[in-house]
Amino acid sequence: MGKGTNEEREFSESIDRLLAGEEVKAGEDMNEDYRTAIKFARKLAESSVGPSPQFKDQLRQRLLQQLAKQEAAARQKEKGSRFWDGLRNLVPRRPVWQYATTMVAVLMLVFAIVLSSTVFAPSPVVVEPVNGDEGPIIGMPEQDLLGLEAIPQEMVISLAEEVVEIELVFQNISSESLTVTSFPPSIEIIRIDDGEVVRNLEAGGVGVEILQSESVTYTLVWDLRDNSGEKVLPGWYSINVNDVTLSKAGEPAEIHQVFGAVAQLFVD
Amino acid sequence: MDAVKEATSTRETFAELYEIYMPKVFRYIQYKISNKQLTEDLTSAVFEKALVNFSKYSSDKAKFSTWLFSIARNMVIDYYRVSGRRETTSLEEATEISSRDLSPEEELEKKVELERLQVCLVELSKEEQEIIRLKFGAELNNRQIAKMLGLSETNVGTKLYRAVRKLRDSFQESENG
Repeated sequence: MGKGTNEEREFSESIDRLLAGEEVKAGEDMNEDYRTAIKFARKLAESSVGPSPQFKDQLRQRLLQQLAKQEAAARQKEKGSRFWDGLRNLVPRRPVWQYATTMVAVLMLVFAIVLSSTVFAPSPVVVEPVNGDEGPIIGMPEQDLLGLEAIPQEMVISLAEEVVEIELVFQNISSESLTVTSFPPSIEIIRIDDGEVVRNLEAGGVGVEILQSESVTYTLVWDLRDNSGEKVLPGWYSINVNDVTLSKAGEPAEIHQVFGAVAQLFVD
Repeated sequence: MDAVKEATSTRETFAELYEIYMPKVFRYIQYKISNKQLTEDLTSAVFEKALVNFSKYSSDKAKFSTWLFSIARNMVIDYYRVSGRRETTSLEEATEISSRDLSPEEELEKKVELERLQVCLVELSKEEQEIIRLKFGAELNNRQIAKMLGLSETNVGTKLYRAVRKLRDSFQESENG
């Protein structure tokens, strides 16, 4: 091996040590060219500037949120594929039996449709009027009267945090004034993995009037604990607003509007 | 619960790798792109791409650092191709440095030095520039650089030694001139 190759190898090794934070000195036996090259390499190693801590933290946070979303989507997909696999296993492999199974399934489907459209047709929610004179009033609105937006709609929160805050903005999208008769409405926090309601937040007893096009904000503060006061497990949770009781200005009847899941959060 | 455990473990692994490699990716890109905002944007894009493909990464095929810096390298190449910019650096567009633990004077001195280095760097051949960036920015060893550039390890050592000396001479000339 030539002198040049040895010098090059030693130079590379010295740079690796420099970059690892070790002190490197060129030996006295080395020529001036080599020694100044090492000195310059030290300058190069010291000249590069790292990212700002703020950028580093923000990007880390964003990536972990993205990872949590990816994992939740993958889990959802896996659940779906398990369901279809299970369904496929129910169908026998021989063609005759496959035909028979399909026929039975089709007949059952037709029967279920006929049955549901006659016997089990949903009856409207009936709410008695407060003054009792106008007769029963249908309780479900034909179209939404109230809009609800959660801010943020999705977030990642560390289990180490004391509380999580989510703003629920109720906007009157009807053409008249509305009163939310029990404000804030009842809220359920559901663990998405198994559908268990981990926390119920009871409706408040205050009536809040929302003028046309106006909005009212309620800040939901959750201490990341379940109904028994224990910290919840890591995973995805949804915030559900299931029933908001409303009344229109000058009308005694109560109207119920259901929103369902309005926000999701990943507890890390 | 297994899925939760697995997810926690993936998050922990990714978080650990991020801590180790994020500053190196940033420095590697900074050696090539002289604008701080753009360096941050491209660093973000590299890690977002790595995250999306993280499940496909196999440690049998390549070391994580080699895999990650291949993404970074292609990202920078794509940036120049799409934007139609030339790979040159001018003092006017050189990096805005923001670093902690430095006095304003030291920061200014470092900024000026880095600007001069970036200007001198583009005088080297493309391959020499890449070796300098992969060594001093990404902090890869010669074997990893060799794998990325399709060279032998000895060849990388030779080229690195030559590139550093050329850069030193060019830097000294700019200092004197």
